[in-house]
Amino acid sequence: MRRDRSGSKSGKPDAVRRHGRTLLAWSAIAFALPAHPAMAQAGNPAQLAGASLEELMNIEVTSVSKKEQTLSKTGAAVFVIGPEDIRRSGANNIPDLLRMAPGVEVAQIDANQWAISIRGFNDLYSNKVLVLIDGRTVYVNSFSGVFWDQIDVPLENIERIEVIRGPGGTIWGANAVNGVINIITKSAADTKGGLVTAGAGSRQTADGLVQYGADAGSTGAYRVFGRYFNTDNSVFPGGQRAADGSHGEQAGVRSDWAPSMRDTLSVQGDFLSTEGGGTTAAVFAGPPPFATPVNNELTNTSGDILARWEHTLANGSSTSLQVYDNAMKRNEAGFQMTNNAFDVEFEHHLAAGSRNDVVWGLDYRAEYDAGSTSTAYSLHVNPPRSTDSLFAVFVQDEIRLSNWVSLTLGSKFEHNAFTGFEYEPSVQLVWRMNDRQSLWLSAARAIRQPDLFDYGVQFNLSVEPVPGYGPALVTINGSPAVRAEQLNDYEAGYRAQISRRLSLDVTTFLSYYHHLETQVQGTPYVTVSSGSPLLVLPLTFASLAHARDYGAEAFANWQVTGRWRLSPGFSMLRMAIQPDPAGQAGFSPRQQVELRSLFSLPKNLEWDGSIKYIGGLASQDVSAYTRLDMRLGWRLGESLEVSVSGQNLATRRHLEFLDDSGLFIQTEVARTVFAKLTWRY
Amino acid sequence: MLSRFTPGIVAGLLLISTAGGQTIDQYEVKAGFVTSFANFVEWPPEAFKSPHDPFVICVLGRNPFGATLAGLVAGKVVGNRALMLRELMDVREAEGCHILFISASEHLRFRAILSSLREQSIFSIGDTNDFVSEGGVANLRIENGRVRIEINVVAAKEKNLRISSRLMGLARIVK
Repeated sequence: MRRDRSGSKSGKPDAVRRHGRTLLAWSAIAFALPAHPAMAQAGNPAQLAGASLEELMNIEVTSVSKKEQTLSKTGAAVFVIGPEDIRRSGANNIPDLLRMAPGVEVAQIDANQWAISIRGFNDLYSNKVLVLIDGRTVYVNSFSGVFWDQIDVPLENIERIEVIRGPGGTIWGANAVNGVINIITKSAADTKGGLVTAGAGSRQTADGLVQYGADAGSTGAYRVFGRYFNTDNSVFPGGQRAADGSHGEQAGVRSDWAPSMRDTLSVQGDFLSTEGGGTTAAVFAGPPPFATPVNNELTNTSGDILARWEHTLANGSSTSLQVYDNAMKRNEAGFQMTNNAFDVEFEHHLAAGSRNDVVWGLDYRAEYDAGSTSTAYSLHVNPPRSTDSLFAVFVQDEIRLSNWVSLTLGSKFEHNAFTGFEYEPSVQLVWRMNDRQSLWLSAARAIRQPDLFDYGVQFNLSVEPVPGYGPALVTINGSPAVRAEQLNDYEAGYRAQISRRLSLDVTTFLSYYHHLETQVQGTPYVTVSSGSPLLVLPLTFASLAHARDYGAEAFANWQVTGRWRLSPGFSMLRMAIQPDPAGQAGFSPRQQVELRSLFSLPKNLEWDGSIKYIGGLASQDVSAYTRLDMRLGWRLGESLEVSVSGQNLATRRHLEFLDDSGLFIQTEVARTVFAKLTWRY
Repeated sequence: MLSRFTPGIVAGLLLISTAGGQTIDQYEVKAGFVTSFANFVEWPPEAFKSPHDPFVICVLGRNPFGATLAGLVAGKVVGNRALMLRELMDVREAEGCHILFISASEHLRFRAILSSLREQSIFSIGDTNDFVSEGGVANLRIENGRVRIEINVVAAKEKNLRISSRLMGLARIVK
């Protein structure tokens, strides 16, 4: 697997690999895969050469991008969400889009908070999946999590989302433990012209985008956009309205240039400001009754700027240099957090001889953080201000052992401010059994580096009654003894292009985790800081748990007819964490099953839908539920599109996740409708 | 759970799959168009230096056709001219090309590339949405799973290329 940040150029040209072997162990599938005479003929140059223009115009074609083909040959579990999937999903935000990726756990907590993970360990701000936008990390290292309400890219500008399940530490470094979500936006060359979208619905009450793109000289292009959205309050399980609605303004610019055949330059920047709310089970250090749910402000201002230069050298090797800065100021539950991340990366990709495809790179990152708390609230981080540096180097070599077997070896070596030196090696073996089937095996190590909160947080978690004493305050405290969480992961995958219309992808994994973060109970003490004596039960972070998880994911793409595509998906997960007093293994569904359907009706109508079963969460009061989403779209010529979509049509309201930290009190996810108009000019 | 269901799912999918027709990678079909245009366009005499000059098809930028286009061209003739394929890394190498496919990898440079081709009788083909509006001659775009042709008649006229009425009848004409 190679990092691709620009989405512009794919790697080397496809090697012609053909051989007729099949494996007896796979006879069940192999037997059912006779040579397709029709396909072989259609792909035969002689046949195409003889075809008339009219015949050529009648051939139904597939348009899978080269990039997708390249990805489907890697020794890793990958799912790609393309622009057509996005446009026809009816989703208004990236979390809802990710629901279509098999093995990804997406659960909404309230109107603007989500718990999103891959292969378990799901939570509000779950910390084992790295998320990037155009090569820019939006996972906040110093906090170990992703603020999904800040991950807002106009969906029309997304080229694709690559969802990689399993570790990606060798390429992406720390925190790419259980997966990587790569959001790649379109080049400005592909978004020329005007674009206006306007939508309104029962939850997303307003959403509008205005964008304009044009040529910049004869070798470049640019686009600028502005967007506004407003999300309504959601509803508590009892039927009471929460105060968690939000609204936001967003603006962005991207410019791409190709000053020569060998150089491309990309500069982009974004700004987002949101203002919303959430209900917190606030714990005051003050007098009883201590815990009173409080409606809090949730505000965020964030911005980023990125520049990337890619250069192809005369010998065919290529280099890229990327610099970016991410800044945000977030006020959540009375805690104000400022984070600024500066990152510079260099990468060199070269072919060494005829068998080796080498990529190596250097990375430097500096992250500045400051946290402050308004007096009434209960979250502190020590030190309140810090700057942490990360240095990293990686090298990976893809060795072509034969025409049908390739071996990829590599490792990342990095030095972080918390645990010092870390390494993340991996090995992948890909065996192309024939031109339609491949089998791959991989083994990898990955880490989640500790953060400022693990080391120095002081957080009043809850007030618990102590029999014979009265209420006692439970606090969580950071500790510099916290170690990097470590994963040793083993995977096997199988891919088959069963016919031109049907493909299948199956992955199984076995994951061993060490030094998982736990909380140990300290000695209780009495504090009189708030006037009256209060018993405090301190919990301190430690790295004492380990886990063994296993599972499988499978999906297929079936182009039933030229107008109808069906995409079934399935995932299962079994987690065993030792010790697991909080029941974290039960924060993830044991299985998810889905079926998506994209149906193009006559008269430019589109009828799309998905049905997804999500298993219950064993240690939360969340039972299994089925989501039914549907969309009806109508394209009026080239420039106008009207759509109506409905989400959660199967149930009136359901719970998806409980936030056990008490930071946000969960609300129910309701049935919603949304109408949208898209105009391109 | 998986082991119990997978064989059934796979068998079921396979059964259904054999019932449907076949679809082909877009670039195999587009390669068919690129080569057949040679028969539906007339180049001015000065496009060939001698009666035995080959007919040259060129691809500029990353070749998306794999081996398909080379396979279609190999050993073929147009009239009495041998058909040849050349891959270009720079538009300045385009002299002598009769058909030039400009890969989507050069999207950002379309204007620069097309303006430097202005004086030459080269039938340029692209496959991105704005190729003909940027001044390219022919565009191959996919609509409802089938390849459609767009032709910029103004650009063709500028380059002294005469397009057969049969091709014009099948194409969407852009002025």
